Amino acid sequence: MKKVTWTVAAMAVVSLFLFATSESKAAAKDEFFTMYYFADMSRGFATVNVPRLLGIQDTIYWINKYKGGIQGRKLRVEWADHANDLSVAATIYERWRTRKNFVFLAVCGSQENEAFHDRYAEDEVVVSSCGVSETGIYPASYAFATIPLYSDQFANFADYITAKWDWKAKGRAPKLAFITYDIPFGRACLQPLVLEYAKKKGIEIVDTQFIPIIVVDATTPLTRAKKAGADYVYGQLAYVTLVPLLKENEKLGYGLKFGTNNFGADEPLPLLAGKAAEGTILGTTPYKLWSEKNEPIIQTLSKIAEEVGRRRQDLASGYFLGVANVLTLYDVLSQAVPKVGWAGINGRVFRRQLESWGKGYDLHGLVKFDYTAEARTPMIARLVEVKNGQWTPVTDWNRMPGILRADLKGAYKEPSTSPKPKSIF
Amino acid sequence: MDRPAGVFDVRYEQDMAVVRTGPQWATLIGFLILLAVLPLFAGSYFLSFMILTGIALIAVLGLNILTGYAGQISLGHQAFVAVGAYTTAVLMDSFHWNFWATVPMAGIAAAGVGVLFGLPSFRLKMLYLTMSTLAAQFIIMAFFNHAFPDYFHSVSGIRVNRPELWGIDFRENEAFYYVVIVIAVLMTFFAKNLVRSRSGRAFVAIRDNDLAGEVIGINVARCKLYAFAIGCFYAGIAGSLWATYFRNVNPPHFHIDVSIWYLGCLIVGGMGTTVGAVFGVLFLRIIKELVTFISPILGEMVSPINAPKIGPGLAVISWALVVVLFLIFEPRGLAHTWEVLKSRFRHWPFKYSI
Repeated sequence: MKKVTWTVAAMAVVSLFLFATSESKAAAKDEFFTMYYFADMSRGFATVNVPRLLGIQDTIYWINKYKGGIQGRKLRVEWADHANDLSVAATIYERWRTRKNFVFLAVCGSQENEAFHDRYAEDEVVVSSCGVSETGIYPASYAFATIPLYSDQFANFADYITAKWDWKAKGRAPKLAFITYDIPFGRACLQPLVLEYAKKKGIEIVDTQFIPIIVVDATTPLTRAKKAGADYVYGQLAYVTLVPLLKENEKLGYGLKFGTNNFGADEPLPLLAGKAAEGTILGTTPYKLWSEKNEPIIQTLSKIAEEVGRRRQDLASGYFLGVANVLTLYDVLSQAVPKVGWAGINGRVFRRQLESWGKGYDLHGLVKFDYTAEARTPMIARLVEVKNGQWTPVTDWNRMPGILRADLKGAYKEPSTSPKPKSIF
Repeated sequence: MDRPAGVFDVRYEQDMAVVRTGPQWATLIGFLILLAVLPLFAGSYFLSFMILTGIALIAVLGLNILTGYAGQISLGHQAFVAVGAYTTAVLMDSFHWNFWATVPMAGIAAAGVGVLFGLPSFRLKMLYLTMSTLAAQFIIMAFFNHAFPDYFHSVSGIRVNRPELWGIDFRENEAFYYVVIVIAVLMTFFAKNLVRSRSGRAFVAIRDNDLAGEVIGINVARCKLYAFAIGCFYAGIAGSLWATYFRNVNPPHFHIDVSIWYLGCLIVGGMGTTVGAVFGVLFLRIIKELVTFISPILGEMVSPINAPKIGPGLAVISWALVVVLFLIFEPRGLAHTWEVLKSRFRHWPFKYSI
């Protein structure tokens, strides 16, 4: 019993100390502008979200060190790991919600976006998200996406394969099998509008299968797809799932071509899949690539990454998403503060400034956003494939078709009440 | 049960009473008053913590009736929570029911589904029954993910509004807190009383030895189904509150991890005691919250620039370590620690008697 008492007492003291330290630390940072970030960083989506936070940290480091901050203030990030637990995400959100400087939040996860979508608007917190299930982002509100909707990413792939398909020589339509996750993220490519689009393009859907994130048996789904006559496999998959599929496809000699979203077309994939990925997988991304070494933004980011000491494995596609979050913040504040002053900055001003960016806003040469009263996602992207061990573009920049349910379309209706009383400084 | 020195039960009612002494009544009333006035001085963060703890508590109380008292181990409890959540969401979204009417319906629907998945308990016991409830988790979630897309909106989930009553907007945590706490208190009271009833004693009898229970006249099959129905009714009510708190229902909200976490709450708190469920949920929710605080700090202590890579991992390890240490030093759960503390207090300066 004594042991238990002492253990509990020691835990309580340590916890109180940690709690107190974290609070005093936050309070002492008034000279900073704080951006907030929560995501699953210790479970299934850590492969995306940890690099993303590294990208956030490094870009903040760059802005603070080389640009002197924004409008005289330095940046900082406060982050928390919700471990893919919505109830934890909710309490983290509540912990931050009442803070006067809580106006900009970066998240990555469709489930929390969908759950908090209405609250973002009620609290007037601008959210920059890479979880882009359509109901997480739309109807247009305070959530802004940093990647195109998954439905548009599929459409981009469908456009390409049908344009390249030799209809005369083959004498038939291209056949496609869906192999994806049985979760909203995975099933985003199976929505009725997406299937309609595929049909309109003349693609024949021959099979639909669900697989887990960690694939133990890659032979069975690939064999089933091959037996169904598939030429292409498309899945809303992370690179960790695609690697065994690609390797097995090569080993079995099936010759299937793969299509995936931006999280599949990730930097570690060529490293892990090696030859099996060469010319066999297409992915959509609205971002520049690490392989484009002549691009000024890539040169800058490479320099920062080298200065900070990042490994190549750290520079996954999530890293760019983090960079985009901070650059979004940088641009908005650089534009809004001269107009309204720091005292005038609040969530509503933030959102309006983002909406004023319009179509194809160039974010430092890294990505182009369509942020208007109606639009909340990047709409310009291209297909990339693996060549010589790195991702390289196969198409020019294309405008996405904008596949979105009719009931989710329309401009954000601003409330007639005054903004939430938030004086950040 | 131990009583303070000099307190004797002289009537049967006294022996049966949950609250037996004046100080106990005072403590209970004080605690209820504290719960009632909490929103006046607690912030939104703490209220949200209390709301989510209350919802989890209702679910775990149900699991405690099913597993702790009736001995029917369930690894699919969160799926029954999902049944309640979807019932409320669909009734509000597609049929425009009032929230208050959907709450009992959520409990009844979950109870019905629970009875269905309880049928294998006629033939299965222990690990085999565990596997069948695990199957329930997957079957039910696959159902919501794939069936009736016009109602369940599989990929998109269902948006739900928080209720209004007499002009009170329950979107604010201060108001919704009362909804959850009142229901949680009532259901805790019901759970505590249930196990002292004829049915409750029958649950314990079949848990300890179902053959002996049958010999003394308990209808074991019916009793097991009762346990499933009541346990899942609790889960359904928790689901209904979950749906309205998050204003959204989606299959990933109800993954198996949460079912296992509920079971963890029971083990840490003390299986087969109502107070154990309360302690277990509180303790593990506090740990969850602490982890979100300490992960950035731990990461920065090791390497500020690599904190995002190190912090979350260290936090998970530290929380797992706390649970393991706890189970080593107090395998009978927090409920037992509580009894020991009370006994120490009552017997001081003599040695405690448990």
